[in-house]
Amino acid sequence: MATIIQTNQLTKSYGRSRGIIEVTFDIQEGEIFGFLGPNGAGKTTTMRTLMGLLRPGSGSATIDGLDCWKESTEVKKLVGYLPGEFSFDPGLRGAQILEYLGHLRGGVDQAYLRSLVERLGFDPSKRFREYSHGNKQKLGLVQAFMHKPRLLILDEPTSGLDPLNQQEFYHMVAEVRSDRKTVFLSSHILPEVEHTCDRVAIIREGRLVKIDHVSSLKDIHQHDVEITFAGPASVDWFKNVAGVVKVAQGGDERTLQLNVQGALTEIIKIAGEHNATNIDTREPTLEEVFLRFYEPEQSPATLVG
Amino acid sequence: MFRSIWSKTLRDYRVPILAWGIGLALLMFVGFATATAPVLAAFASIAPLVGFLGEPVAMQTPAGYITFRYMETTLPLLLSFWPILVGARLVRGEEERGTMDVLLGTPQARTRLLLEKIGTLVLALLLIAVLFALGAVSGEARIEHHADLFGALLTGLNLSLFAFFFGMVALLLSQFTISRGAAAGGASGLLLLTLLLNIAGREVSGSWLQYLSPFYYYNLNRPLIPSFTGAPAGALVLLGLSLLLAAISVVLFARRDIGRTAFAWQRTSANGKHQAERSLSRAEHAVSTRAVSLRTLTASGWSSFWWLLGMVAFCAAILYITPSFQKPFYNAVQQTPWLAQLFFDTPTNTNTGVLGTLLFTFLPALVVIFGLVLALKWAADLEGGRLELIFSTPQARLRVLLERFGANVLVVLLAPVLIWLVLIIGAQLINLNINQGRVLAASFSMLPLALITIGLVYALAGRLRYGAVLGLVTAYLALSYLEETLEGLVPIPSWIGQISIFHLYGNPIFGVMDWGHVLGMTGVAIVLLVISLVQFRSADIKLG
Repeated sequence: MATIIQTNQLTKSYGRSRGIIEVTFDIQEGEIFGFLGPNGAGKTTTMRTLMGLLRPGSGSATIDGLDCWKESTEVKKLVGYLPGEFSFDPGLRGAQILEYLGHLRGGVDQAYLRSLVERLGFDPSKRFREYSHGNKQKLGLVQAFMHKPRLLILDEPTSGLDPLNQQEFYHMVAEVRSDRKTVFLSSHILPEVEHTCDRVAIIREGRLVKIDHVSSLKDIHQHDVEITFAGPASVDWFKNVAGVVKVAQGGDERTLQLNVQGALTEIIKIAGEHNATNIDTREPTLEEVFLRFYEPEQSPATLVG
Repeated sequence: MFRSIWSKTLRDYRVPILAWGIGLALLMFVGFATATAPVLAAFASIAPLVGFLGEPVAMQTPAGYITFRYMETTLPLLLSFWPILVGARLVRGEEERGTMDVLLGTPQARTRLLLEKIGTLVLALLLIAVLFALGAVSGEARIEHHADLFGALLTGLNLSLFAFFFGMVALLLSQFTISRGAAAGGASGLLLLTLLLNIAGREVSGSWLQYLSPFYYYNLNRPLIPSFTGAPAGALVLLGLSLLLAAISVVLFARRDIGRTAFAWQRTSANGKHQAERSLSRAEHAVSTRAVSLRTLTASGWSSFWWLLGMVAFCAAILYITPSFQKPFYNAVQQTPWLAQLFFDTPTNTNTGVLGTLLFTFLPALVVIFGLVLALKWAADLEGGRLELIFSTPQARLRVLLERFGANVLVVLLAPVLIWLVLIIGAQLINLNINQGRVLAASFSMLPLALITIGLVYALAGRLRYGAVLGLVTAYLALSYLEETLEGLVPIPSWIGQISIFHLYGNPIFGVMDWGHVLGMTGVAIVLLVISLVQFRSADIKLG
């Protein structure tokens, strides 16, 4: 498969504020790629930089081998873009906006445009100012899909959509996938990413912390372990053990709570040496795995205590 | 400052309050300071000739001169524009931005919300009145060694009351319009219409027309002139009408849907699919959606129409009075040494000279403001994030900017064309002999001024926020105009004249056509455009 999006050490800052820092990833043609992260993590900044709306501070970003900044006009011929938030001339009607953007794209297939409007149940006769958030989102989706682009960059595409339209959107993405087109979408809704994406990148505080196949991420084995001892327990017994992410005193002095990555063999062995009376383990949900990636970076001192 | 609606609104107004207050105070101070005996004598002799603009009272005193020159028409007209803009966006602006939903999501009653906002506008205008009065008193004290603070304060209050009335007109109109621009445009149109009514009322003896104009009620009181017996009823009429407009607006706002107009026609959408198809088909055939430039031209269509109509009407009105005005004006200049000195380069014995004095003193400023209004839309769209989707299409940034710029230039070009046509055709119709070549030169020499203004806005908009662009360009234009107006009356360094576009415009209507300046200004406009292109090429697109 050919690489369609490639970023290399892409960095963008807003004066003193952080934007994104040394973000490196690539997306293959035909992939559905999810971009996960909490609000303000840098998802929108990355997408706007790819669209040539922001000038990279350093590093590079290319789409189909074209530089996203220097050749942004050519890049945009390949892309359908849904901004996270967008505004438009408040007096224009939905139909006029679609027609206008269609002309600026060099014309679109009117029959396909009408089918999109119908599928999403979008009323194009209203003025932009009269649309609800959900209807603005539908307008944004129609204009992103209407010219059948090779690549769709969608910033939180289901935001504001009702469940029926969310399903319709998933169908639209599935159709795009079957046409071997690429979708790069951001979200903070995990089931949506699980449902639609092949691969996912997780961004936190401007830095990429993980890129993997959705199926691989599900295989990250972390365990919450609660161990009860016969006598007073110390966090020092476990804090330097390989695989222990976090250890803390439990509800009383005889209990410890651990978060462990990987096999529990060493933990069980040490617990036995200190006369453990009970061990409870629980595998966290996928939601919790992602929440851990989202947590602000913590120093070892706060992790162990 | 964020504890209540009124305090937050007052915070929003802090810059305009200071700008208008200090600006008016300075104007009053300079006005009084330059009210020397020759100036008073000159204006006293010329005043009866321009009786349509105001009634000369106690013209031999500085207060009478200031009242006639500034207070009768000029300042009420100027100061009203700010309350008009404020009134139009008081609630409609918040509705357009979607912030009204958030505000009304808090436990605030609509009535109270609007009353607090109106109250803040009143407070802002009171503060402006106080600053105005301080400027007037300072100027008065400088020349007469005594000052009438009470009279100055009442004058400021009368002025603020007049402006408040038009603010409330805009507020009421905004209940019936879906955009604040339409309400502001309508209120501005009414302001100009009532000015014309007042002028017409003065011209036609015994006419009832001026009773329809707020200018009439405003001018019933001239508290700056101690010897003038005012009619407090005039102020009461303005106050009563303003309160009535405010009350109607409050009632309408309290009852209507947010985001819709009062008495909005309820659209029925029985057949959604049919309606969608009809809208899409109509849009498919619309010319305005084919290019950025066409869209820009369409978007500015109505406001440009009203601007151009206003300028055309102004030209026609001045042209109409020129034959009756020329002879007495010439005599006054001949008989008054100070006027002879002031108009030494003005051929007052010709109709063209009169046109130059009455028309081309103001037209360049109007054309420049027209250009500014058109260009500011670019800055507003950039800041409002309204170009995000445009720039997601394969349109080069520079092309989008050039199309917008070109559309603005094309519209602003209509101003000199129409002014020239109205004057030439109008003169033919009323058999008025004017110098056609000079009218042509004076009309089209205004274009570089507008081009520089548009270029300035575009050059600044890529980097600065809308408010900063508006403030900087307005300050430059105001200083430029002030320099040209006060030149000769107060000492001004020559280099300021060299950067004043109004100074560089000169007096082509009097045959003083400086091609160097015209070409130089055109060159500056081109340089500004190049700067706009270069800096916009590398600017981040703001996120609404």
